[in-house]
Amino acid sequence: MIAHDVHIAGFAPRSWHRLVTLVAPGLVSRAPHEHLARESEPGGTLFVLYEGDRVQRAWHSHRGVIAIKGWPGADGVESLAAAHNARFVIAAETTALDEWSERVGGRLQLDDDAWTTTVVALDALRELADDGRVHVWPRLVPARVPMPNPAMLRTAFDLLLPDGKSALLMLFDDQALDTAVLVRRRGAAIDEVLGPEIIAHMTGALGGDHRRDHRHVRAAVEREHGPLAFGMFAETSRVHALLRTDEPAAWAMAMAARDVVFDPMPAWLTLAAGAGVVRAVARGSGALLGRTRMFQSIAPALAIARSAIERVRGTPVTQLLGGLQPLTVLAGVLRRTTPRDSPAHDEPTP
Amino acid sequence: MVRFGTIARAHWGRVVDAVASLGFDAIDIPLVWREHEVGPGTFDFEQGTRALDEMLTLARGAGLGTIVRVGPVCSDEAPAMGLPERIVRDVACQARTPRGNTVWVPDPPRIMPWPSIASEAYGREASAWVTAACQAIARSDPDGTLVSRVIVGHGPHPTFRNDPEHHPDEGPDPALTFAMRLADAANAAGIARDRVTISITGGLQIAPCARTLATTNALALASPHPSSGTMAVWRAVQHGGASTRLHGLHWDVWCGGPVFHPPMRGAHAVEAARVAVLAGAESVTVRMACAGSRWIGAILGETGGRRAHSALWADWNAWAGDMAIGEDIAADLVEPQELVRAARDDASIDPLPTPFAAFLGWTAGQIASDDVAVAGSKSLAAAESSLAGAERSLRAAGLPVRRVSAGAEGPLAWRCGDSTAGFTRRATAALESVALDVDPRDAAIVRAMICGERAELIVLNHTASPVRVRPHAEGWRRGDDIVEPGTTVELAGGESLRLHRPAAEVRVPSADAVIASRTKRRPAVRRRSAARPPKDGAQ
Repeated sequence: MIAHDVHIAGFAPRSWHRLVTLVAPGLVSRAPHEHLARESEPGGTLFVLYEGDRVQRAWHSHRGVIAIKGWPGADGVESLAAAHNARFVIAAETTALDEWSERVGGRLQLDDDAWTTTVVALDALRELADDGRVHVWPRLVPARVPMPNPAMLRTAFDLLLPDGKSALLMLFDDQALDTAVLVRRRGAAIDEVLGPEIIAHMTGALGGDHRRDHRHVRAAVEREHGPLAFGMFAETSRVHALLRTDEPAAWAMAMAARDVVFDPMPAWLTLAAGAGVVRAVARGSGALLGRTRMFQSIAPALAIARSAIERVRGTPVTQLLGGLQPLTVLAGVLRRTTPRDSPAHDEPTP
Repeated sequence: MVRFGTIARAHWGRVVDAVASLGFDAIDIPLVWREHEVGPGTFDFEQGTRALDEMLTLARGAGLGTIVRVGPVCSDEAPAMGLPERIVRDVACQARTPRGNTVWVPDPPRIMPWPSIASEAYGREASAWVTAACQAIARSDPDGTLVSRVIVGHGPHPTFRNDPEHHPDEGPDPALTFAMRLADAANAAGIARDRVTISITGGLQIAPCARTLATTNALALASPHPSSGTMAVWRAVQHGGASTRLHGLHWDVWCGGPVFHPPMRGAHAVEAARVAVLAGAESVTVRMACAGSRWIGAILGETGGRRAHSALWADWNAWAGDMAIGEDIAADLVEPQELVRAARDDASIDPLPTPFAAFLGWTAGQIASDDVAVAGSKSLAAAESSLAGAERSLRAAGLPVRRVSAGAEGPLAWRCGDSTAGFTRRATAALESVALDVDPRDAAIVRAMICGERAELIVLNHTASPVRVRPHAEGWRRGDDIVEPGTTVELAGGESLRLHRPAAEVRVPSADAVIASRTKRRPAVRRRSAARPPKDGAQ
């Protein structure tokens, strides 16, 4: 998926920070003297290592090492989270990590690709979870979703980002480029990840409105760097909201309103957006959609999606979409968090 | 630090000039094994981006000194931690789990087998690399005037392991044996021993071998990540400084990191570096000034262009150059050596590497299970708890305090099992001339030192709220102004204050002074004892 000698360049601290905290707000950078202030903030993740009914070590991402008297068992994890004001809990038997290490160590080969490595590591973790030795709360992935195999992941990757093509994300804030990333696939893996400094060098000055800039950006990037499989352009705040929504049709509606612009827009993305609309209708959100004029504009996409889904039913991609849905899982995580803002001008201009 | 090996040669001159223009006085150059090995056991230090001579010449031309690192693991972002693939794949080099499986460590975006420091094969190969690299340094700098320091050893890669493991070659203290073997190889290759610095993975609180190595060589350590907070950075730097007085210490502070580090704002990195200097870091590498790839948020862009936060580093350089260097006066809290060993042997975060805990700013007592037995305490948890309690108590009294390894303590020292209240009283008496009133209590860190004829008092607000401080003794000066008796100085969140006065006016605790203060205080303690016997039975 990513070449082990991948070239990564063009990220200043702020742009990388904005990109990472888009999907991992808990990793927001703090000044050293703000460390203690975080202790009083709600949320965070609680990590617990236990043995029998004793907690050997507990660490809270906001409060550091904390004391917990006893391990309440799997049924008590939710109350443990409430008692320590944590939004997530990850708990494991003390021997479970060693066991995981042994299982992964015994199954992996050095030449295994990233997909196999990922699946082997997750499989071993899943076994330990099934054995009741590792616990994650809240449960974000349905229990019966089968683990995709490496071949399925490779097929999905081929569809999402074909060999020789790149994917671009450009986010704007306050009429200026906020953060961006351009990833290129070469052969079986992503070999290059470029940040805003280099992308801006390709595009030159931008107006700051993603609805207008996308055409110019796409042309410049394809001229300077090679063909794009897809590009996504939006306001950062809108993407923060979309990543947290549980409304299946939200992405499709945002696309229809051009709050999010995809350029180029690949077929799988049309399908995915259409599938969201299908799910919205299926779960009764159609009434909501029907009350908006927006629905009129995405109705054709809905029809296309329905027929397309019928055609491709049974392929690895729909198996993936029908089972483990990464965006849904991510939204489930992010809904429990708050977007973190980075002040735009806390570093001087050189 | 500049990763010349990843930067196009056409940009080298621009990078070096930019580093010099920011006020740095040296360039730290990591030589990455896998980039210099052109065939098994064959190395090149002359061609293309491997040209060591050119790197040293450019630095000299810009008026900069140089430090060279040879690892074997010396740069966090290099693929396979900088090791050649043939080493990674060599089964004889690989660390083992208790069941004999391969130990895998993260090497984002993949995981890789970890070479064992106990492995004879790995030790032999690593020594051969260090020998070749040091011979190249000696050839480029035959009179030793360009390269002030050569750093050998693993580090500071936080995912690196030097925990007990299960390689069949494992003998007693493999981390110590491995590091000494590398230092000997550098020495034999022509680098004088006083120029060889040994890099330690994890802080001094985490690495048991560090105390022994500090008796023969200078050490190189990495500061905890800025997000671990002011106190973690301060504690690590103070601990290291106290324990390496013989040969000195070199610090790495962070400016960005590889993709697997938490993201870091430029201003936050600079603040952490400021904390490190205030805590006593004298020789410092900013990791990273410039890298051509895989390092996020260096001071300079990949071609040497200044980034927004570079101005903050220029200011930091100007400020740090004005910092006094001296001998600390402090109350020392002694971490028993067995605490570190017990913690590592029973690290509850196993199989994660313990240096990762140091990177997060954890102490030894925080990485192990609570019920591990430690001499002088009921358990490791009890030892850690009493250490933390004593630290809080002394800080609340406005006194300079530091944690030190056993054997590195000064005359005013607290050990596990001692009474915290009694020691705080003794320390308050012994350190009266450098003590402060702090409001709120415990919100500021104090450091006192004697710098030749001058005494310095450093106060740092380690919280986000304002703090008011007032020296107990009269006569302290802030710049040229005398701090009038009773004057309270308010420090904003993260702000520091430096005061000074003639050293002769400051009472330095000696063994005699401490005993005297103990004798003087004893009746007071006895009176209290008569009313309510201390629970711990001390005094």
